[in-house]
Amino acid sequence: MILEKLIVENFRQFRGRQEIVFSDIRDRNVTLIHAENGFGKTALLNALLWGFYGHDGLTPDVAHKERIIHEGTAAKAKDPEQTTATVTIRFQHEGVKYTLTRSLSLAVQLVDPKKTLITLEVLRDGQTLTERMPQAKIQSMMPDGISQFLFFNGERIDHLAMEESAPQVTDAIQQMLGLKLLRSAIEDLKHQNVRGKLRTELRDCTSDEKAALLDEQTRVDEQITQLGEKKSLTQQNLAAIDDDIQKVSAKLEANRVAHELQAKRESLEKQQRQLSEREAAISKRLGQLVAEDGYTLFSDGLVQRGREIMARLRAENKIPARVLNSFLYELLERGRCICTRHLTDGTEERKAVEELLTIAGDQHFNNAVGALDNAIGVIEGVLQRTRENLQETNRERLKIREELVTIGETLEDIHQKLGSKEDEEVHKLEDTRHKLQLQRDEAITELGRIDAKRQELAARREALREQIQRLEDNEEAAKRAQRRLDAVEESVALLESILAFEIEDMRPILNDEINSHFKKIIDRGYWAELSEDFVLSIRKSVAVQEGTDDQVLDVAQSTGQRQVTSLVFIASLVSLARRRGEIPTIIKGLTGAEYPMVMDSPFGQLSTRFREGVARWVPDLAPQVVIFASSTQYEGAVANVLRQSKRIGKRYYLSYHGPHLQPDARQELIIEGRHLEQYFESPEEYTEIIEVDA
Amino acid sequence: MPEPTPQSTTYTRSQEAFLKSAEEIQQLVRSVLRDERDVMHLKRRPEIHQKILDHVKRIVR
Repeated sequence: MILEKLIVENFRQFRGRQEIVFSDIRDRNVTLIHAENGFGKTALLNALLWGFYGHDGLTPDVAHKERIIHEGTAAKAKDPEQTTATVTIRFQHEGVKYTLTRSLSLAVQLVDPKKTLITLEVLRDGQTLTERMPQAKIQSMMPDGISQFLFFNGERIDHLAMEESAPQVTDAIQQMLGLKLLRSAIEDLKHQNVRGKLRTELRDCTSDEKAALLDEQTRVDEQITQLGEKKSLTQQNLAAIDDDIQKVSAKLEANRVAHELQAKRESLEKQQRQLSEREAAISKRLGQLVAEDGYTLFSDGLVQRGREIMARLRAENKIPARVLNSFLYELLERGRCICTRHLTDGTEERKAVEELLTIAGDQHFNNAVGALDNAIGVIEGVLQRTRENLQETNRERLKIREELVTIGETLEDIHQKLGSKEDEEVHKLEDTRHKLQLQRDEAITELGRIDAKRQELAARREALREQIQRLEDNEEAAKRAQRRLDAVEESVALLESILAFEIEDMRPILNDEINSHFKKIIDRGYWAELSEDFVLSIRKSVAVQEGTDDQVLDVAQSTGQRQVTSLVFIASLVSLARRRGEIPTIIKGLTGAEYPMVMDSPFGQLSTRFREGVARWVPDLAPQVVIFASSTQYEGAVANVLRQSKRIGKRYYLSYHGPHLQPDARQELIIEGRHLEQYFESPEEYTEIIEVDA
Repeated sequence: MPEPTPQSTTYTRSQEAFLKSAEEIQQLVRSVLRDERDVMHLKRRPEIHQKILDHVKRIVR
């Protein structure tokens, strides 16, 4: 999809008709929109989202979603039927041109603002045709699930790089790379109208015992679904709490009285996160060690007993055997000794050889004793190594735990000191932070509880399924109902494993893509990675000791670093979506699709070093890139890099008319030495879109 | 879903899993996915459940 033009009419703070023509030139694919905070960046981003998806598409940060029509226009309206807000988007998708129009009249807004009018016209062979199901067509071109990764506020995407966002990361992969089909099929097969109905059919024609088990299985399924919803809500809650903690921490750091202690706390919390990650890795290693070689720790007695047996056999001259019985049997069978004497029955010579059989050793016994001797040696070696490894790893873990305790105590001390400051603001901020920390702990505990309960229920569900399958039915109808239910269960299990394989197989491809993007922004020895658990992280390699392998560590990420990692992840998905047809998959007919990326404040929380890297790389993010930036975000590094890149194809600024100017907004915009008035005092609030030379 | 042909001998893990499953399950999964493709992006799709049930009853007799 390539955006061509956006026309907004009385939408939110845009009064009258305003338009933007997007750059569609590949070499100059960036459309840059300058806008101070409060001037209408978010409203413009939401004009696109509202146009494509209606009320449900609006971002969560939009206040008063029910007020779509420009407030001044709505207040002065004489005819509510004729007063409307309209968004028109002209775009191309797979070589076909479309015009999408969505509108809402004031009369409808007052009753139900979600009830919009939508039309989608297709320009084909010089003729304009109207789509019969416009929303369905839009969804098939750009499902709303992926819109959050294409139209977003850059300052609010950093949560993707948090550990608790792994489900959102896998969801993004599914949505962007066409795997949603598998998930929809799984959900529909599991639905009450499918699996539930088949279960009821079986229940109605089976034994009482089986019916009771089926009822219990239905209850367990319902509980699992409820827990899934609860988990998703808790994860969202946790992300919101993290966001709030960051905001409070930033305020504390900006406060003169609290600055030093807060900075120390930030640094300690970073260390704490790193140590906790190392501790988790060590615990995992310890578990592996015990699972693989732990048995040797209990082999002391056996080894001792084996050694005693070997010693006794040696003392009895049974090992090594002086002569083997197989050799003697061969001589007796041949009837001739190696000294050429005949060993005929009844002769003295034969008798002498037969007597030797009483002291001869057995070949198999000899081999077995040799193998036992060898195995005892191996077990002793592994035992020794395992003991040393366990002691060493445990020592390391204890050391980390001690460090964590010390850090915990220091953090508590900082909390006490900040809490007892006489400065009212610090006192309040610390109190808020503490409350948020407690809420965070509760949310994490709750997630742990939910996971444990879900595991327990999943095990119970599996046990019930096996029990139900084992109970044979007598009636043909019941047998058939059971077969049908089994087929649905097996199809769900198959599709779940296929989906897991598809996502797992995508991970290395995605990692290559992520890393190639990341390296364009940061060149020091860091790399970005999507872990096996689908956590986005920045990693680095650290030399531990001479002669040993370097240790790979997660870099504790700042908000800016997380923003970059998330941006890189989204860009990688857009890039893979473009060449989807080349990536092996089980799903037939998946072709590459181009999408634009529309970003509000992509440089928002970044340090100067990151801003420069992101600005250099941003034109390569997608075939078409639209950026909203305020003066402070744009000036300096970003302006220089974008100017040098010559990739800006179109440039606009938002001119704001209103009673007040936000404290961080500027009255005048300076672009390439040109001074442009961008704020005008006015009793009525409205924004105009003005084009300037790129 | 893969259709085994003499030319295509290298399968992805998901294709292998699919081909290893019973013929009846393969047929059911293919039918469900075919119908899902048309409606997966729609918010309301009440007919899909009945269609799946019909597939189950047609395939598993």
